[in-house]
Amino acid sequence: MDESKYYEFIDLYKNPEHFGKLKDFDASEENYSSSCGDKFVVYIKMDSGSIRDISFEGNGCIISTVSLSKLCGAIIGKRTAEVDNMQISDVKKLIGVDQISLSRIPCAMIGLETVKKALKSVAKHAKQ
Amino acid sequence: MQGFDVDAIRKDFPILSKPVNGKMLAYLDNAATSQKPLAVIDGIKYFYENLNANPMRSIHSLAEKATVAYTEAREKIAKFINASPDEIVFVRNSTEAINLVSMSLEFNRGDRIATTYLEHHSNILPWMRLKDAGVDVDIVDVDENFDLDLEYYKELKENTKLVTVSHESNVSGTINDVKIISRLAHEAGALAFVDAAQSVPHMKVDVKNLGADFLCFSGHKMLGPLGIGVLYISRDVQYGMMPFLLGGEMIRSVKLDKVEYQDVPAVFEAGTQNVEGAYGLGLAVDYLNQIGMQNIEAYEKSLTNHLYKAAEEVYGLSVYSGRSRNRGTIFSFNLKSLHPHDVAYLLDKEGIAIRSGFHCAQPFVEDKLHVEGTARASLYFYNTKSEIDRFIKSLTDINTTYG
Repeated sequence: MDESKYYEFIDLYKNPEHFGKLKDFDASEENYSSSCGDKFVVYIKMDSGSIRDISFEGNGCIISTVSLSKLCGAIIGKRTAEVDNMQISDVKKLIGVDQISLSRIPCAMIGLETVKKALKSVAKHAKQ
Repeated sequence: MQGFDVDAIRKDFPILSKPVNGKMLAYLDNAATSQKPLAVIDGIKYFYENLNANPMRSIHSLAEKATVAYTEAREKIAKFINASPDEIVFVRNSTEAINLVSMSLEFNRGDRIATTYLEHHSNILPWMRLKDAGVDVDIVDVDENFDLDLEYYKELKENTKLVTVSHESNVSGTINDVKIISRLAHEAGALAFVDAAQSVPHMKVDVKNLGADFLCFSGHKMLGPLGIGVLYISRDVQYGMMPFLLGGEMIRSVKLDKVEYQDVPAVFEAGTQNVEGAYGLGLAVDYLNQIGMQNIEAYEKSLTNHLYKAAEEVYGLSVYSGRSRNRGTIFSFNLKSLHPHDVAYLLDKEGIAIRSGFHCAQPFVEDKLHVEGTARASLYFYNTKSEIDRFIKSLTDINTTYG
């Protein structure tokens, strides 16, 4: 990843979009990276099988925060299965980066993993 | 420090002249692992080209050479810390050494172990596991300078069986007074274990002077190869320890109804050992001896002071290490408004290698520093003042661009 990309991210890092707690949500999940100390909570509001709104709180590095912020923007309106199928390549596309070093892949993925976890918890609640 | 020629020393370390991201490498991640001099790199090649066989088993000439190489390495390392060769057990690293002792010493329900807030996970988790067997584990606290609460050791609880402490913290850089702690442990009838992974590479460590019963360190942090470490077990406490791993070369006799084990160190070296590693570590010790541990300590002290002084000029820098009167070469910090990984990433673009994260000391970082990770620069005797100046300048530049 190029350093100029980092510079481009700094504003979004300091003032991320979709940051904060939704007033009304169906599920929330927390995720934690033991090597980095990154900690995020995701809040999801569903509407007949699609994501109506999503937000997050927490702290992380530039890559994890920007990835999660952009992810939130990208998946509003999407169905659970579509998000479940997303992978690292989709995250890279979202943040416009071709190469992420092996050691930073967990940073890029922690947001997507938290969202997937939250969607599972939505599904579990729906069954009950 | 007469005759300490850092430019000449750097020529012995080929990796230090390799560019990283198009910049000169400034390797400031020595608490994670050190770089290796040619003497060690070439020595390992020499071992496989001239000495390789399975030592202690076969009796042919080559096996004899390998046995001599392995034995001599043990002797050199013993001498390096003022121990006897039969008190030196080769292990993979400090982590394995601590796990070994936690499983080989007999602990009973109601026994107590005292570890500390300053420890690496490897000196907390093996002991915490013993809680399942009814062993109590105390975590000795630190004061605002991250010095250990010595009062705790002055009034050790009666059932304390083992006191374990790092010689130097890998986050705060505190150098603990393990000599006093060992003495207080013994006065209370407890054993003393010292995790010296961060100290043996940097200072003269004399196990007899410190008085510890157990002491461990990792070869790779002191110019040696990866995957070789040392556990010192004082002769006085060897009797009655249980074997760790069972198998070849750790037994005296095996009958299906009766097994007799070897003495230390053989009893703790089951299976074919990392002979290349031991040999390489022996060469690393030769190299350190040639430079002189006193010289290394003196040079690193001046380097560390230079770093702490220069850091005072950096805006928005929080420093978490070096508060103790007795500090090592570790410099833990955060830059205002940036995550430590991002600081590490941006420094890497300048060729400067540091560590970021919890440093395997999550309880200390979270409960005592109240942060979710730090960046950490750590020095060794091949580092220079100009590398430190580059590091400080880069921090200032990052502040200007991203602050």
